[in-house]
This record gives sequence, structure tokens and C-alpha cells, in this order.
Amino acid sequence: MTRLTVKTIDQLLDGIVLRRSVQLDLSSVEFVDPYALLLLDLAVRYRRARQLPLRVQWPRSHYVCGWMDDMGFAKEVRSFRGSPLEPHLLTSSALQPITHISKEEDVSRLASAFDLRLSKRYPLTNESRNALVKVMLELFQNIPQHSNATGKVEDPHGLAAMQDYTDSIFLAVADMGIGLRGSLSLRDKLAPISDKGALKKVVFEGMSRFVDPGHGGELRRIAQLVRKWDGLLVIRSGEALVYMDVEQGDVYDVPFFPGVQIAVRLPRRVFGIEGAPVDN
Amino acid sequence: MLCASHAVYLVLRERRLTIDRLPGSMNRMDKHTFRLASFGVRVGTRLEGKIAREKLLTALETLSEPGRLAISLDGIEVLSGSFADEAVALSYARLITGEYGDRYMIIRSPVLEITEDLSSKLERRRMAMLCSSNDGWDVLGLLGTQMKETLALVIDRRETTAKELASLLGIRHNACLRRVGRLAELRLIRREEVGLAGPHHSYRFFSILNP
Repeated sequence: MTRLTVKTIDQLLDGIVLRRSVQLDLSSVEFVDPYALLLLDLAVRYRRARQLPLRVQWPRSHYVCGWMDDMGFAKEVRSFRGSPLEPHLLTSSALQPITHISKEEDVSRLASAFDLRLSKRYPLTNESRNALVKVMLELFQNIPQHSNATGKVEDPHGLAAMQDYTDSIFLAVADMGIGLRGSLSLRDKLAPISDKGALKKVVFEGMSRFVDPGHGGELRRIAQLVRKWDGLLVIRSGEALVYMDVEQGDVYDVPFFPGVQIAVRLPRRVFGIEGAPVDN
Repeated sequence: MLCASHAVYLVLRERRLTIDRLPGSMNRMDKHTFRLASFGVRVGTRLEGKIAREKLLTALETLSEPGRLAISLDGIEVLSGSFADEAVALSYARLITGEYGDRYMIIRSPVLEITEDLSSKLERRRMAMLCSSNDGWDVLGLLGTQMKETLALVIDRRETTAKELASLLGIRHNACLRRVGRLAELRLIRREEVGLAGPHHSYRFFSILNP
């Protein structure tokens, strides 16, 4: 596998989660997107929490290693017993490294920090900056509000990262909490619900675990916004995944992984960015 | 001993207070502005919204009756749905239960775009709120076309009766009473009892946008 992306990471995840002993070979990987990076991070944590061995062969590409390192991945998996990530000499184009989200009090500050990092790289229109901040505020606060709504998850490990590409800005938000099914199951009448059913109810119907109608609807609004902007939205929870781009939008079966993982890719033209291409 | 000027002042103040509390004096409605930007220019989370709601309801409570609180979005760049629901929609939900007496709330925003997520939350709660902007006024949330048409007439006339509205709208008096009754329940207009017309109460209806 040469590309770890929203479209390929599930093949890898299947192996990491299910097998008792795993050799994870990333040596030929030449590209990693932020969504795949966060899932890889969480998958390593998942194995570690269960004391399952995982031997990793990191990418041969110095540039990819450098990018992963600059995105904070090496620090994230530091205490993990695998081969160390190779040191790199190149300066990568990493934009916003992996950031932990655990408390609601931190959400506004973190969204502003993400925005600042992006606007330092590009002159952005106020309208697009504010729209992205609104998306971040909603996605980030979902982690402290919902990922451990049962109180039974020791640490849902909320993470976020962002990267720019030649044609788009890519935001990823992920956690290892109770997932959408676990959250909606807290509503009495929805107790026996599948991952697919939960995903549909949240993304297409705007439902939440609260009966109060004011709660919920945020992911549906984000989906509408992403579609309006010809972007890409991926929401993964448990064994189901919603994939929506300009051409298609459907729910798919994927290998189980706990929590909710989200990718939002928006065309750069939405942000009024005409600058030089940047790629990792 | 009071000096003469102080005594005059007290008399005038007493008269003014009396006038302020006279029913039907919409032009003497107690009006205040609550600036949401005091909580940040990009708001925010539900947690921040809860804090704002407490302050907003305190500001509402301190208004004399009849009173109107304008929630100003001036200076706000981002108003997230979560914050808007906690701070504004939930406050409004309490207002329309009658908990705050003869008091009203409106949104004042330089542009309507910023209110989109608030409007969506009000719609989910099946509520509607008046919003004045540089382009005029609009209704945020959920309100049918006929109700909006009736509301527009009340705003246009500032003060009116069901009889007058029914004539302008070309509908039956009872149908008009139902519409304005609902608008008053939603706190989009102010209804004031002015006496009896036969066996029924007689009301006047007032705009809360331009009292």
C-alpha cells in the first residue's frame, strides 16, 4: 500500500484490530492524510491498551516520515514498543499537528489556534475562516460532550489535525469513545440500533442522544455545508462509514473500530486561496 | 426637609414611573441591549452558551414591564448552533412560557447570515424570533406564511386591533384573533387587554420591533 487515506486506511485497520500479533508494514507508504494518521494513532493506542503486540515498519520515504513526525505522530506513539520512526532531515509541509481534545473549556481556544495556523499560511477570506471555525467548534465539542456519555470509557482520546493540499484543506477529528450507536442507545426507544442505523439517524436526520429537540443536527448541517462547497465528508463510527462527495453519498460497512472518526476536505477555492501549491 | 427642586424631581420621577407602568404605553417600553460579543467574537460551545444564558436571563429579569431586550450580534463573527441554542433558544423557550411576564426579546444583527444556525435551532424547537438587521427585519425559526403576513402588518402599523387587521387581511375576525393570539403566544407581538367587547375581552396588539 502506497497511500494511507480515507479510502485505504480501513484495510489496515482490519488487520490491526482483529489480529493478535501483527506486523504492520508501512515501508512503501508515500502519502498519509490526516484522517488516516489519526486512525493509525488511535489504532496503536487500541493495541497498547489491550497489551497486544504490534511491530511497525515505518515508511521508507523520508518526506512521509518527516511529515508524520512534524504532525506529532512520533511523540504520540513514543512509548509504543515498535521500531522507532526514522529521524528526518527534510522540512515537511505539516500544517496543524495532532492535538488532543478532552475538555469543553478548551474547545474555543483550540479552534482559534487551528484557524490561526491556517491563516498564517494563507490570506483567507473572513467568511471562509468563520465557516471553518464554526465547523471546528461543533466537531471538537462533540468529543467532550458525547464520546464518553456513558462514563464508562477511561479515555476517549479525542484528537484533531489539519493539513493543506494543492486543491484542498483537510480537517480530521477522531476519538475512541462510545461511538454514535453507543450515544443514541442512551435514548430509550433507540436501544437496539446498529452502527449503520445510528449513523443515518445522526447524519441524515439530525438526531442526538437527547430528546430535547435543540440538541443534535450539527453533523447534518456540516454535511449540508460540505456538499454546498463541493467538499468531501467521511464519518466513521463502529462498523459503518458515511462517504459523501460531489458525486456520491452513501453508508458503507467497514471493519469495527470504536468511537467516531471524521474527515472534512474542502476545496481551497472556498477559502479564496490562490497561493502556491503545498503538498506532503 | 426636602428642598423644592428635589421635591419637584421626586414628583416628576413618580409621575414618570407611573407613566412607564401604564398599560398600553408601548413607546415607553423598557428597552435594553444585551451584547453577545461580550462572550467573544466567535461563540462557541454549549458550556459557554450556558454562561451567556444565565447573564441574558438576569438582564431580562431586570427589565421593567413591559420591557424588551434586544440581543445584539454586533461584533460577532461566528455564532455556532450549539452556543445559539444554549444561550438564546433556551432563554426564549422560557420567555414564551410566560415566566418573565410582559417582557420580550428580539435579535439585532448587522447581517442575517450570522443567524443561520440560531434560526435552525429555533426551527427545531418550533419557535420563532424577530430579527432586525441593516436590511430590515426577518423572522428566525419557524413561522408560516400567513402568520408572517399578519406579523408584517402589526409591525407596519405599530399598534392595531384584530378588527383592523381582519379588514386589512380580508379574513374573518375569529381567524384573525387566532393568528394574533398565536403571534402573542410566540412573543412576536405584544397583546394588551383594553376592556370588554360584549362578552369577550378586547385587545390591542403592538409591534415589539419598533415600539
